[in-house]
Amino acid sequence: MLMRSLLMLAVLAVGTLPALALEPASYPEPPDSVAFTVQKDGKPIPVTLRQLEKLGLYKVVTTSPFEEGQLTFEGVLFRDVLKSLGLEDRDSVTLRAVDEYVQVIPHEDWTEGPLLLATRQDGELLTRRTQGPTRLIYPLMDYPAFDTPIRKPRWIWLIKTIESNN
Amino acid sequence: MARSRPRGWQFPLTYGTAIGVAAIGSAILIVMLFASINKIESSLPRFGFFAIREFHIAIRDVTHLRDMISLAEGAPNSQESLDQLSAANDLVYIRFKRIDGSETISAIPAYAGVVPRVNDAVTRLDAVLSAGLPLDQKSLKELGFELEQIVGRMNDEYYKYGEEVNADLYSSEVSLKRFNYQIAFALTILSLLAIGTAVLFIGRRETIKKLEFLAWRDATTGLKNRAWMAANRDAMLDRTKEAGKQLQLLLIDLDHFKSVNDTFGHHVGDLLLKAVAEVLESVERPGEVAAVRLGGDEFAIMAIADQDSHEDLGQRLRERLNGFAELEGHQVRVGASIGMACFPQHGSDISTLLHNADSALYTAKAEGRSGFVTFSPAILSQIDMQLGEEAGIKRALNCDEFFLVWQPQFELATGRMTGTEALVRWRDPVSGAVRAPASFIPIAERSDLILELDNMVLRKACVQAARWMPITTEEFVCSVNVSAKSLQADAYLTHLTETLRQTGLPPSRLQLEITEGIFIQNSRDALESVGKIRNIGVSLALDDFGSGYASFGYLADFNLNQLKIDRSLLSDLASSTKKQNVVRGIIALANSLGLTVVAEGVENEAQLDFLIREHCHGAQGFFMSEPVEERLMTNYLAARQGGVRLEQFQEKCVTVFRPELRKNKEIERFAVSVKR
Repeated sequence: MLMRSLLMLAVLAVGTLPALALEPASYPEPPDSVAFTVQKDGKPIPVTLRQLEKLGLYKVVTTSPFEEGQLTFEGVLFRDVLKSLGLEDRDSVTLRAVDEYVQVIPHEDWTEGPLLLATRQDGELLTRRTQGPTRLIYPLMDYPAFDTPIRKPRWIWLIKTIESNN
Repeated sequence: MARSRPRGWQFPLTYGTAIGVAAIGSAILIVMLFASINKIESSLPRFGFFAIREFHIAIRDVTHLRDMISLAEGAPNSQESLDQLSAANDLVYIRFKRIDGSETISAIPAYAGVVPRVNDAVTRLDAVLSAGLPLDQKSLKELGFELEQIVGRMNDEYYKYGEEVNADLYSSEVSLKRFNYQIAFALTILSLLAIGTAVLFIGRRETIKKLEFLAWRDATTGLKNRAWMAANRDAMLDRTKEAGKQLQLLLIDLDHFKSVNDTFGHHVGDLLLKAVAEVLESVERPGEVAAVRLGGDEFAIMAIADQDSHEDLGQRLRERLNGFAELEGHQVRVGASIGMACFPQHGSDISTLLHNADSALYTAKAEGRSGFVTFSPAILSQIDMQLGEEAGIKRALNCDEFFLVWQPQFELATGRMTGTEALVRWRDPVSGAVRAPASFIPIAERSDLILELDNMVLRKACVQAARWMPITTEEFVCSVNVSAKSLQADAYLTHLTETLRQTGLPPSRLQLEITEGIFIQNSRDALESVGKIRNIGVSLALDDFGSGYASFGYLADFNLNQLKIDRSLLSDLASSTKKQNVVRGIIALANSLGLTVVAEGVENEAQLDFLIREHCHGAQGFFMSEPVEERLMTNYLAARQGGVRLEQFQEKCVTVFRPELRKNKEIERFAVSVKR
């Protein structure tokens, strides 16, 4: 029994290793433009790109269900973003895009794996043409458990607001 | 306890618990299955749904761009309309340029035709936008027209494909539901099977229990049976050895069980067995004391006891088993003889113990019933001797080693020989010695050999008596002794009538001599057969009168013909006036009852004189004649009948028939005729 649980722990550790081992990245400070607005308890809080990137940049190489080939993104961990906003313990948050596309991201998505809020692609800051200024990336190659059909619509870009759910 | 019962973990399995467990298990299974099916449903890929969703967004984006263009047409100089147009264009750009549309194309092939046209429109709008304010209205109008067409085309495709997807989804939903029902059905069948199996399993257990009961238990009493004992006795002995204790083996045999059966019926007999079984069951203790019915009226107790508790159990059982029982309103006397042998004193293996306990039981029976005897080596030698004797008698019966001699009886008033008593002798084939009845009759009486012996004597006597018929008068009667045991046997009466029929001997020429013992035992069977014998016409004499414990009561109740005064009363007749008075009294009693009296064992003249003086009817004894072989008797009778001279047998006759006997004319003539 002990051996078995130890083995399980080892497997889990191996599974979470890539998440811990996301490659840190650093770039020159971005402009202090508003990336998105956070709706917390009815109050709008603007979050700038600069504030975001101070949380610590990581580099992720992944495939995407919407785009062809391997893509390289840089961004901050969604978990860190929510932590800085005090929303880390919520059951879910709602992300709204510029075109009013809305997705609810559940708690386990940012605790189970390294869910990334990308600000850059191939080192370049995301613009509106490149689905920016921020988009949500599920690192499918580092964390294959994210590769489920139900998570496919949660790849949200052109993020306008993050709303806390109670 | 029983070796047959498997040891180890045993769940108290009943129908209720089994069905309950099966039902709960099935319910859990069903719930789990439905939950997993729901999960499967929710995580199933939405057939084509994703493609149509993407397509819908694409239509929305393009429609939005068309709307923004028509707005900008109305206000070509407004910065706001430029921004809005730019944003809408970016959305379309992302949707058609950056997003990989291959999946949508594979589902909606028309999408492939739309993509280049939209991309072209986006490029042209980029050019218009980069030109800055004011916007070129002509280009916007052309683009608006182009997009209008594209939207129309896309909407057509959307509705067409949407219907397909709807139908697809509906059918998949139906098949999924059907799948659910199939699973539920399968589970129901499975749980039914499980319940059925459980029921069958329990049924099997019950059957095994029943079979075990049938195999190991006696049906009448519910006690363990012989088979159980055979299967478990060695294990019990082993346990005794391990514990260093004593194994007591008690064999119990009911006394007179057959007569209870015959008197009150088998129903009461069964009740008696049950009553005894109850007593035995009350001393039963699981694993230590086992009560067994060996069959018939035989029981056994196997008890593991401490070394010093010697005869407690046997004595207790003897006290409880002997007494009267009230069965169906009848007072039934219960008696049981018990024989015990113990391990390790009386044998180290079961068969020896059984044999020795049986010997002890045999002795208990022989010592007078209702006894309790523990085995000892002395018993064994005694029994061996008896068994040897019995075997000898059996052999003698088979080899016809018994023969009859005849003791004449004389009427004292006339001196005539009026009858003769058949006496049995055994000639040893090896030594040629002749053995007197006293040496083998008691042994035969202890076993059932006496029945055969009596039958044999009766048959031989009747055959002989029939031969004498032509040379004797009607009054000449042959007497045959019969034991009480024979009289109680059903077959005896049949044998008697059959023998009379075969030999052609008239019943009036036969007299059976019975003893007082039959009245003491007061057996209904015996008394009934006494009555039946009288009805046939065979007369009855009461042998050995005055020697036993006879009461006079039955003399009045039973229709006897003759009393025979026991030889012990005549032995000191001359010296004892008391004995003279007793004999006198018996003669008077017999006279008053209308019975004839014959004195046995007349050995001297003084006795004969006394009897003649007291008007005793008849006498037999050595003084007149010893018992003679039938050849001599035949010769004498023939001579008496026809006055035939018997020269060749003269010498022999003189030694046998006493010439001194001259008390009256007839006897003298008898002697003279022999002398001549």
